Amino acid sequence: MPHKAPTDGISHDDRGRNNAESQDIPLKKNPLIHEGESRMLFGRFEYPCRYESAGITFCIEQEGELFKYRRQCGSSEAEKIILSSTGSLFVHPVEPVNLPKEVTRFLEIEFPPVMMAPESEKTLFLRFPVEIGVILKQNDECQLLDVFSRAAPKYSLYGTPESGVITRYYHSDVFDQPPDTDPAETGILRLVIHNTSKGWVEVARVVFESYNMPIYFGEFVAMSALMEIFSKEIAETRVLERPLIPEMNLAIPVICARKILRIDTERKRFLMEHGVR
Amino acid sequence: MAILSTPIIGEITILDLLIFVVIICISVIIANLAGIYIKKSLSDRVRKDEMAKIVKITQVAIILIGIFISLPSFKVDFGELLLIGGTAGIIIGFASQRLVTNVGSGIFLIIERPVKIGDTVKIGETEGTIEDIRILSTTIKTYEGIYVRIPNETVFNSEITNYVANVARRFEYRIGIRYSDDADQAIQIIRELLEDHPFVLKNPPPSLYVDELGDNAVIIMVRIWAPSHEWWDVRTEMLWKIKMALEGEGISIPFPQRMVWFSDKSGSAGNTPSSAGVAGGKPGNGP
Repeated sequence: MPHKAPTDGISHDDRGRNNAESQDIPLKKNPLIHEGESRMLFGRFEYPCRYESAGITFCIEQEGELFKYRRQCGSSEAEKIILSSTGSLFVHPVEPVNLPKEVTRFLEIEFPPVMMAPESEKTLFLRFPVEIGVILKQNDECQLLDVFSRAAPKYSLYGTPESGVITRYYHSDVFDQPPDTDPAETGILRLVIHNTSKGWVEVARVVFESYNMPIYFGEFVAMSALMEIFSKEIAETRVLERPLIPEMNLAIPVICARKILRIDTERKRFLMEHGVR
Repeated sequence: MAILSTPIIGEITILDLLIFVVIICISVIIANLAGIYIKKSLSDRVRKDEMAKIVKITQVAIILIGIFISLPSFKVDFGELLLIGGTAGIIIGFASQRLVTNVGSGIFLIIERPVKIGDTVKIGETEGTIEDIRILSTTIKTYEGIYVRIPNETVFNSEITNYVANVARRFEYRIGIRYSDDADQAIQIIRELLEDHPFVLKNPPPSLYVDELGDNAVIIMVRIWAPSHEWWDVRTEMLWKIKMALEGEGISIPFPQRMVWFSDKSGSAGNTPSSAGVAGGKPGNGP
């Protein structure tokens, strides 16, 4: 049976497409996406299907009445059986807090210290780790089938053991424009830092709540976020529902694919009360 | 059917009693069904301890509703009920002090929350995972899988160690290497190994240093922070990895050893182990 190429990304509501605040940002062509390449990693696949590129292989093959999902990414492998022939497979970037197992819902990015002038606002670009979610969808019901990544996971503690939180840790350089990324490993984070305090503040880390983390994908993976600094010790962060460029698609949130109750999802902001350095 | 209208206590007839029992039974059945339904629908969406709370609150609410529905069949005057309840409470309180103490302790445990369902704890001499916190007792499943019921009074008055109350915890290894090995190199090898492990926390960073010049080995202290729920897996995994990584670079972990020097009675200079006569210990160059 011929393998079908992925079609467009999942249809989304308009929030991911027509945002007036999206800017024309000079983006470099991603070296991993070649001109004329018909199969991108992210998107919708009708199974049976097969994807193989840059060290990542996954497929769904029919064996009798069964469909077998197999995946290899580096030394990591997965195999599952799907007992449905009518669903669709979506491969989307998901919140990077799932590997090797879910122990937290916070993402921390540390970067070289930047000095923020009093009552100022600046935009900078960082990289963030990408995890790739393989999601089954049928009749609007999503189910996370597999998560993998080329980014090595690392965890950290933000704050104290008594009152802090475990975070998925990533160290990024600071860029003044969107950096090159490998979409299977890293994404671009556009971070607007707003120092509302009346003093200089040194910022070297940002922590986000992943329960509301809209991630967008296209030729690259991206997020936009806002960090409001109230003092040297306290800041508030939130990820914005805003694509880096208008053509990007909104990824299915893993909270939906994991079928986690949305009781907590109203918590869109995270208060960094253990410092920003 | 006249028997049904026969009063048995005051104006309460057998029929009233039957109605009361039937309503209570129905409410208990509904509460159980609701509990099963909630567990089925929310089991993969809600944490285990929160699930237990939701189920309990729902079941208690349903049973209370059942009681209130059934009370009119007793022709209850709520003023009288309060008076009787208060008096009965005092009498029962005196009669069953331990029971009341356990209930009080249970309430304080629920309010203070030193432990919650799913926590790994040590209460007195019992170690294990909290399975349930009830009004009278707390149940623990020990690491050996044994069910232990501890009265709440005992829990309340015991020293409680909650291993997962804080989000991260530290553990340590003492790694011995030979005196002839390069301790800096050993530390670097271990540090790189720790860096690669996802659950060895970046912050607070691992602490590695030469801690002791021992009888048989140079002792390197390795202190590691890990998420509280993952520390045991990390601990069991890393020790062997450290040993293998050190041996891969030619650094060995020495056996305890003692060199015995035999004296040379002829008086010739004999300071080699085979000829000297002093029992001594030259620390770890083996195996």
